[in-house]
Amino acid sequence: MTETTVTPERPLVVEEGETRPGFIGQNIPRKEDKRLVQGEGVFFDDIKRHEMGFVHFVRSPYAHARIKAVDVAKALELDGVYGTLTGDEVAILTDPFFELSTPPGAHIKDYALAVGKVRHVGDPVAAVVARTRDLARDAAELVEVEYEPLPLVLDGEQALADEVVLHDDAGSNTVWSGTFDWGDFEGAMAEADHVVKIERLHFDRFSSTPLECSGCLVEYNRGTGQWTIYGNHQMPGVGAIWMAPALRVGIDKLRFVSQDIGGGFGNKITLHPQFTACCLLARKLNRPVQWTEWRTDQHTANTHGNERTFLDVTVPVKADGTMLGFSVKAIDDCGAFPRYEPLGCIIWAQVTPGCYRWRNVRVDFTQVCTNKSPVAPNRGYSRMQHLWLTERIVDIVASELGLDPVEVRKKNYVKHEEFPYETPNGCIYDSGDYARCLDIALDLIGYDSLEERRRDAESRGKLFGIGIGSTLDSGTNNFGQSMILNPDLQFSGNNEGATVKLDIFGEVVVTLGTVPQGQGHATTTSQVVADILGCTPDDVNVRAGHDTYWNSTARRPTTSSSPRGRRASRAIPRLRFRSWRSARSSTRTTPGYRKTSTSR
Amino acid sequence: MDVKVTVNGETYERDVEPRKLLIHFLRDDLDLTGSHIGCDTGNCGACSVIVDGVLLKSCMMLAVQADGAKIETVEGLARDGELNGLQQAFSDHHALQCGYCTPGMLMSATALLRANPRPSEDEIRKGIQGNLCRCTGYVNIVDAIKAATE
Repeated sequence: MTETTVTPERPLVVEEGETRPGFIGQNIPRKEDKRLVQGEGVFFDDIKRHEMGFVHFVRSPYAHARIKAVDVAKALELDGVYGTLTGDEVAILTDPFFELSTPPGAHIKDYALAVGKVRHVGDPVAAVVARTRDLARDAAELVEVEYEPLPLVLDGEQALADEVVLHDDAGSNTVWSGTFDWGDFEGAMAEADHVVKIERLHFDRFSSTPLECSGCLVEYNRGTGQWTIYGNHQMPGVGAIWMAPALRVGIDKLRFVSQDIGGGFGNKITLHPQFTACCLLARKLNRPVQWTEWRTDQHTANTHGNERTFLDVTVPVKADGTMLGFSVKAIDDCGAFPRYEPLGCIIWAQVTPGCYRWRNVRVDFTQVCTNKSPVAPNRGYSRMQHLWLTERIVDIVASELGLDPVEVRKKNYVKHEEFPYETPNGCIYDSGDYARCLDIALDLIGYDSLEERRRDAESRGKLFGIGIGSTLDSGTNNFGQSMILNPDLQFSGNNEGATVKLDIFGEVVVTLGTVPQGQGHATTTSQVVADILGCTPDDVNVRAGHDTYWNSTARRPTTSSSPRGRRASRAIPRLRFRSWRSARSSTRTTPGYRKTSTSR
Repeated sequence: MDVKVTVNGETYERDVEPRKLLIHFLRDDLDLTGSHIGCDTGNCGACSVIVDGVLLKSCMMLAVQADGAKIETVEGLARDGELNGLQQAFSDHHALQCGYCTPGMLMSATALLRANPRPSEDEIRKGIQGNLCRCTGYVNIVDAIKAATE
């Protein structure tokens, strides 16, 4: 077993008036490592079932086209092909996934396979299941699809004109729009000595590209009508809310299981269309089906991070470089389907002023669809695009006014003595010393010598760029905020489930609702639990991975650390009723007692 | 076609499709799932194994080409559940997060250290240049390999 080599050192406030050494914040060996460095992790593609079939999706070569006909006959003739699924079947067997947005986005119809039209290259139009992965690929090539190509729109600004409309039911490419107006922007303009105007800035789409592709193994239990999905959906709690109504069953009919996931980064939050197709196939063919996305498919058609265009940025500035605010028109391009992304229309507001003291901010925000693969809440999602904007503004202001970009930042940062700081839209920044952070960063990179290095590079015909980015992010968040987007959304604030129990040899067993993808949830949770119970992390066995049968909330990881720790700590008082120590000592007296590994 | 290989000292004989990749043979036919698949193109290195002493990406070789070969995979590194020095160094230096690239990294590092027991940092970086990690970054991985030589 992994032994914790450190002893508790830091004083921990356990309850009011009680302190003792704790493990929280200490560097302890990761509980996950021992099995992972031996190749003993269990990733979805490691799981096999007798007579399972392999799924391959037939994907569109067109960015926008009407589907005139899909013929699977030749594929079905191939020996070893178990069956197929087409968009027409999906339209009969399922309802469209629910949309998060209010109209017009609310009227978008999104299915597990393309129905009637394809809207991006790689849009899946059919699926084939066969005895082997390669055979499924062969068979997919035999599916004949007749397309009628349509004009396309690939640019967010052009999409606003609605000359080409992706979703006829919505009647517009606009998903959602709203104006956020905090402080007194007109007053700031009147007060300004300079007004800096930036015509256009563009944040490109991107993908964090986890090393493990997406996929699942799905079994259907005909007796109970329940699907078990061994997959790497990184937020199955939300996936189930999409999938179950579409499949016309209760959420309890979907059991998600994952142990290890090879990176997620948000790219694996909107896998519900592919997983739904696999559920339909498992039921239709009455056999387990397995889908492992090929990397080529991942690059072509899996989710990306949002692209955002910022127009008419206006920044009132005082002569001394004090920035009073900004206004901007933001056009967010979510690709062919918004799925999770209408939430990106509002979540940037958690970091509205970035690191700065400006109080007057006006953002006219519109999200549109274009003929590109859909986006997902990819790493730092929506806040990153917004924070990039604030940093570009600062640099451009410094450049236009002939000021030092470091000094402009320091002048405008929220000051150390101002924390806790309430932002213009009511968010609380709890602590920080941004100017000091910047000084440390500049010192670490040898900022003072960079100009010399730049000149040296230039003398050799090379370009040497110097850039500064200072950002902050909401480590955990309150998704009650989603009601700004749509008052009918029933998302709550922070929530996460955890149970803590005592096992027969005195080991503590903790079950989380989270879906780890490398963040070390087992290790950090064991530190929290150990501190509260007065044991060591080695005595705490955190169940690996997620299983809907254990817990069901399944938040995404960026935001899970805080609620996870709190939930584990709230689960503990009942266990403390009979203290861990007394339970432990009683098991030690049991004849033949042998300490079992609790860290694997 | 019949294929007979020795993997981590154990002999396996299977009838395989000629087009089957070595990585799929290891994972699907032999159930040795420690080696992973991260790409279709030989870029990521997650499937790296050692075949007859030579490091290679097992998605770049057909199973039938490995007939008669001695193959080493991540499953063969530890002895009786005890991590070897390299594996322990990966854990000690936080050289992994999700663990998906780790088996390939370990096999590349194993091959490197056999050929060059005292590599410089540049040589370590060159030794793992065929392996991608998407979580951790490479600094800790390089530190771990360096520590394993000490």
